[in-house]
Amino acid sequence: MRILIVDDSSTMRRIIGNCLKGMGNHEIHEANDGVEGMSKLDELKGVDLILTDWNMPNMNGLQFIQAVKASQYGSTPMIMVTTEAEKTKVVEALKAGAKNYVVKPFTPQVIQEKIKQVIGG
Amino acid sequence: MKAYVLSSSPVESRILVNILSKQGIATTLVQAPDEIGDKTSDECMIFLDWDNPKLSPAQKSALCQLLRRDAAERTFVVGQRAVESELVQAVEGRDSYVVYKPIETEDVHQKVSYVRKAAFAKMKLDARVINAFVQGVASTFETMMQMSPVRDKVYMLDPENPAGVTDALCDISGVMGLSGDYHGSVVISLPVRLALKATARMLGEPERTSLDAGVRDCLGEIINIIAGQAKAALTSTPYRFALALPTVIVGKGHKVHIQEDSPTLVMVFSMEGDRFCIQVNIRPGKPGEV
Repeated sequence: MRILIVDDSSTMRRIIGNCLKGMGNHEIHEANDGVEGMSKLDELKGVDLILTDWNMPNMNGLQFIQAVKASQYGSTPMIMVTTEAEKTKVVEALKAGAKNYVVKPFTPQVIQEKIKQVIGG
Repeated sequence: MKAYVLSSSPVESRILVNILSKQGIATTLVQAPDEIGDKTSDECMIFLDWDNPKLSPAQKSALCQLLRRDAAERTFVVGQRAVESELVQAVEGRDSYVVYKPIETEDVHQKVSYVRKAAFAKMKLDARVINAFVQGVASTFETMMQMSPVRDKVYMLDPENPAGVTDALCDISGVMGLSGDYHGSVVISLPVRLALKATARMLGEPERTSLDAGVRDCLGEIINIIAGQAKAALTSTPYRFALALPTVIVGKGHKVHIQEDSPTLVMVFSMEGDRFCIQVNIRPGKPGEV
């Protein structure tokens, strides 16, 4: 499975990447913000799953989800991984098109469980 | 705190500006009382030049009354000893102060220092804010790094002695700005050894040997998560704010200067033989402030 992680923190990209390694042999790609995320999608001709942060420079996670939904990659399942824990924010992300929502801090088990819920693994 | 100087004398205004700036107080010069108007608040002091020829004695007394009501304990009447009785009468029965001309630096320093300390003593930070950040620190370290910080001590930073945070704790700091209904910042400062250990645990990798880009990024993410946790815990309180993007400062014994016009809470934690601290500075946002 090809997975794109969009987060302006290299630390968080690496942590999420490590969580994914525990789930099998996936092809992991990274982007620093929403703008770079859209470029990556074009470059890769789409991916199977996207995990994105909310607070990022240039294009934030919510805008990124909206941009993906409006693009040819609109059917890609997306998970928001963020510090934004308010219920209104969760609803906002889900309304925009996120399939699931993970609040930082998280354990590897939480990330893996949320991914399974989305991809049905 | 800030200061307003209402004076018709550029020379004396300049003297006051210089004296106050040495105490880290930003000063605004005004020509008429209405330029101060509704700006009076707990965060400002007012210096009123009693020799101002544009103001009649009646106007000065009226102004003192107004300032007393709006800025009690923070009004300074500046005038000649020759009119001492008039000056004393102006501040009589109030907690205002007289500063005699020629203006002496030490005299102003002592009075301003007293006013700042009195204002500082009144500053309190809501227990809900303290608890939200303490919980945020605990859950972030426990969940992401399997480390258990123990709260060592909690105190309010003295604005007269902002070096209250031990230099030994400040090798690397992560700073998160807060904006919205409430403004401020949250700062985490760690010694090198603890920063390296926390990064290794968070990434599940061997310890690095220096505060490289990976450690700096990790610190930014830690303060981001702590602030996010506190923000979520405070959702149902008036303390609502948005998070900025984190910044990281590296340098042995560095200082992070935070806004002086609001209380700063310092929380020191112990963890695995080292200590680190979190500083939280928060105040209501002002009209027009982004």
